Amino acid sequence: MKVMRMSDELFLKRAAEEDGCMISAVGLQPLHAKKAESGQQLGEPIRFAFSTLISYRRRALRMTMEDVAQKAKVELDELLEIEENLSYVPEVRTVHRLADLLKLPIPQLLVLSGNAKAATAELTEAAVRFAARSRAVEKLNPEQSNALNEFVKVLVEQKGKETVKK
Amino acid sequence: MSSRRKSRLKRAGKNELAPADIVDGLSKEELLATHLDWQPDRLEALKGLLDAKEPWPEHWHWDWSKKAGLLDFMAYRCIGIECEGRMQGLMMASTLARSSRVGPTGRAVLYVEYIESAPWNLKDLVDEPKFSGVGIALLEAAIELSEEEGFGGRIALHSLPQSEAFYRKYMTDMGPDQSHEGLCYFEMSAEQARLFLEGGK
Repeated sequence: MKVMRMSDELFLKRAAEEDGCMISAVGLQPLHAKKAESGQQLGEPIRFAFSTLISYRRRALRMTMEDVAQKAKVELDELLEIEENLSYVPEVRTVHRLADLLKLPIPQLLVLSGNAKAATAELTEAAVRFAARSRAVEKLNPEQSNALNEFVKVLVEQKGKETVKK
Repeated sequence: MSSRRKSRLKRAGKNELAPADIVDGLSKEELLATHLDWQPDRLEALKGLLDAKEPWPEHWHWDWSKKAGLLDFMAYRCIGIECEGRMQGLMMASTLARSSRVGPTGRAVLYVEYIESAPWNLKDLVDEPKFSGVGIALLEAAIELSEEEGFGGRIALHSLPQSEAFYRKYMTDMGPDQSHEGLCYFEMSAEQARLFLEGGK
């Protein structure tokens, strides 16, 4: 059972400040609803799919971040940026090394990492679907494993389809 | 399946806590049940506002039943706070990380898609609100979820105009966001989250 971190005294103070005021907030455009639009506007979910894919694949192969950094000859700092910083675009060389180690198709990984544009909407839609189904938890449950397997299947099926360099 | 953990609310007008439960992972059915429970009070308050020729709150076009479809996606979590047998507030958050715009930009933030208090807790709608602190308890839950997802307690939302003063106390106001119909974008950094939960300056 989680313990509440805010003390009762502080809660009473903050609740008195709230004093029955409106607290309404609204997200008008859920990200997955944008999938009909062009891939360019889907940057964050696609980049999130890339981070999540690297993280899930690493964990599915039972590797630590240190293992991946060492075996792929990638700096640990960079791997952290890849998994956690959604605005970080890794070097093409890094993407190649990760693709080799994690056995993922290079062209599709270049698209997801922000280094190339997808030639078809299929990959971006699959990435958005995968991102929407993913949650960052330590151990993959069967549902997450299925999501990973389905997404990797789409990536592999996309192999051979052209990507357009940025 | 939803899970529960202990929380509390403040009885409005009294310096007294009422035991409450944070209900995490609400199902579509629970969301719809809450919507139906709130609807008569909403309509009653709306009638009062119309009779008094007062403008009604801008979020009243929301229909939580329409948001229920988002729960088909694992990335969306609906959390409620229940007290004395009724849901006192609802929040839906997306764990589909977005990039922070405050501090070290590009870090993942938990985005609060929707948040609302039950109509009987709002002093704009009723003369004697029942509970206060619904927003505080739900923000607390959002921070916990952000930490659980590995987002360091960072959260973000777009506030409706009548709620801006509340969020401005605890979050950074990034001003109107034209991609969201000009609603103000607010973000809480990891440090602001810590201060929110633990107090201090």
